[in-house]
Amino acid sequence: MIAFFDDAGFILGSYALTFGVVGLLSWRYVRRGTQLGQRVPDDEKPWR
Amino acid sequence: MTTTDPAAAAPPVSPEGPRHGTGTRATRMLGIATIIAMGWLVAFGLGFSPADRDQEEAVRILYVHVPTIWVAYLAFSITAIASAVVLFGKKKSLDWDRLAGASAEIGVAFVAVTLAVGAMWGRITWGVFWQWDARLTTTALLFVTYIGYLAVRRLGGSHEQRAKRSAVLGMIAVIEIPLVHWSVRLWRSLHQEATVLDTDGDIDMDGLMLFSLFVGVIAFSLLYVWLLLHRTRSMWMQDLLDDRGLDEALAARRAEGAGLVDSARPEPTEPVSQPAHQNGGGS
Amino acid sequence: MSTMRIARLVAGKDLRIERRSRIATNQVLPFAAVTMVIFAFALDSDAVLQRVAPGLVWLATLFSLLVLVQRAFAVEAEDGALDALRVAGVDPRAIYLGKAMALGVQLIVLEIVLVLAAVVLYAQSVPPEGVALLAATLISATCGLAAVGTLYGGLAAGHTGRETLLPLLTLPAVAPVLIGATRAAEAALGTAGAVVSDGWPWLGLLAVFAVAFGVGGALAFGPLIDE
Repeated sequence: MIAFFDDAGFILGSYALTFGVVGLLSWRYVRRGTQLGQRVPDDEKPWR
Repeated sequence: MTTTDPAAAAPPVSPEGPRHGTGTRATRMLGIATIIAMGWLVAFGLGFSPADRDQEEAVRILYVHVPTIWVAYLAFSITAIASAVVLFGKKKSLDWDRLAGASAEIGVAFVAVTLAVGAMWGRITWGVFWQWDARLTTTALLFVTYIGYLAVRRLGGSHEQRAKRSAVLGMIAVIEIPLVHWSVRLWRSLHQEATVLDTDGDIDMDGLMLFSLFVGVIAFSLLYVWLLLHRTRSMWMQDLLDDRGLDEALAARRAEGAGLVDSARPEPTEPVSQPAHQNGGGS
Repeated sequence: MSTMRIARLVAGKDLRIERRSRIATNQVLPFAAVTMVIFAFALDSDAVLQRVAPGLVWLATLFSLLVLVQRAFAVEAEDGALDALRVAGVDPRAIYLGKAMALGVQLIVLEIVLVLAAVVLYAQSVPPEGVALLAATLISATCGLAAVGTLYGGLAAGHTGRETLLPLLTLPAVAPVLIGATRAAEAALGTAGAVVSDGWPWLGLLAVFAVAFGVGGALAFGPLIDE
């Protein structure tokens, strides 16, 4: 029983860690894009 | 990075309304697809897929562990290819350099996640967080190597210098990683492996387990493309702004501030005109 | 002038500077020696020290390598000598080979002193049948270390943060040398019952490493120092 809870902690923890890091990275990239985007006119951006 | 930049903290307003960031219709669609795929991954990885015979519930970690290392290898391969194009390509383009840099950055983040999650898996399966086997050790050195690559990208100088330097380093990594892997394998082959449960992570998967893994690989590959698009675009803007120089950026921001004050009164934008209309009707 | 001749001139210049400044003998060598002493403080037990002595010799070599590389390029950066050579149209491959040769000579001297220190401090002995293997190991490992050190030293030279960037780039890259040279040295010195014949396969690794990074470094050095 104790072993099960140990395992569950690591298993759920691994998912939480993965999605946490990935989410943080995504958030940072989008925020950085938004911030830089304010300083560059839209018609200069090749992707618009 | 340069989050302390005063311009970055400026309110998101410009004469023609808020400007667009790095998102487009395509990236939004891709983002939604990624979120759906991640939802499936959680549902199948933690819910529907069965426990493994040998690893029991720990096998569930592999549904995120394997896709993250797959994305990391994919990212470093893209870095190597883009570096080769920068060095040997006919058309010298900074786009390839930014692609290499963005890909390496994402790769480093994913290797970090892989190592941490792998340690958790090892704790359950092997009884220890770390084992000096060839694959783990090579991955750790790969991690440090690309941290060094990212450090070299930040050395300064012109964008062309950065492109050339980092492309050379990206190519050196292609020589270095196989040598490291070879030496570590030779090293470990002499030692007896100390495992609680004798498994190296290669297990026979079937049905739902294989499908869960497949969902994970799809989800994280979509995420990689999404991240890459956003990162290369913001790198492009950063390079553009660096090129224009600090003085010009300041002048532009001053003009922008003046334009904001002027344009606010004579030609009000949509949200401002709305209440004005209502007032006129009421009187 | 041929590439090799220029390389020899560059190497001679570097070694002359080192001989006159005496930094290598008066600072780097004592640094390496004190490293060997503090290893003993950390590891304490005589038996453990005897077992890990070959590894400690190579660890001390790696640390000293970092110091020597910093030194080799600080000399160039101080008076803009590297830029002068580049402007004069000197083949960057020749500069690379020359600097690597000078670094290699200093490393070999250092390694011999460290092996002697291991004999004295860590109770090692060099059996007659292991001498050839030991010499071959020293030479091939030195070639690999000098190739990597010169390449990354040139890359980091003249940039802020080079003191920290150099170890970050160099240490993961020379991991194969540390592994191969330690195992080969263990075989040569007979550490923990190793026999000499165990050591020769590791020399293959060291040789491949030295050739790969020697060729790669010579090709990459030009673009890297080109400012």
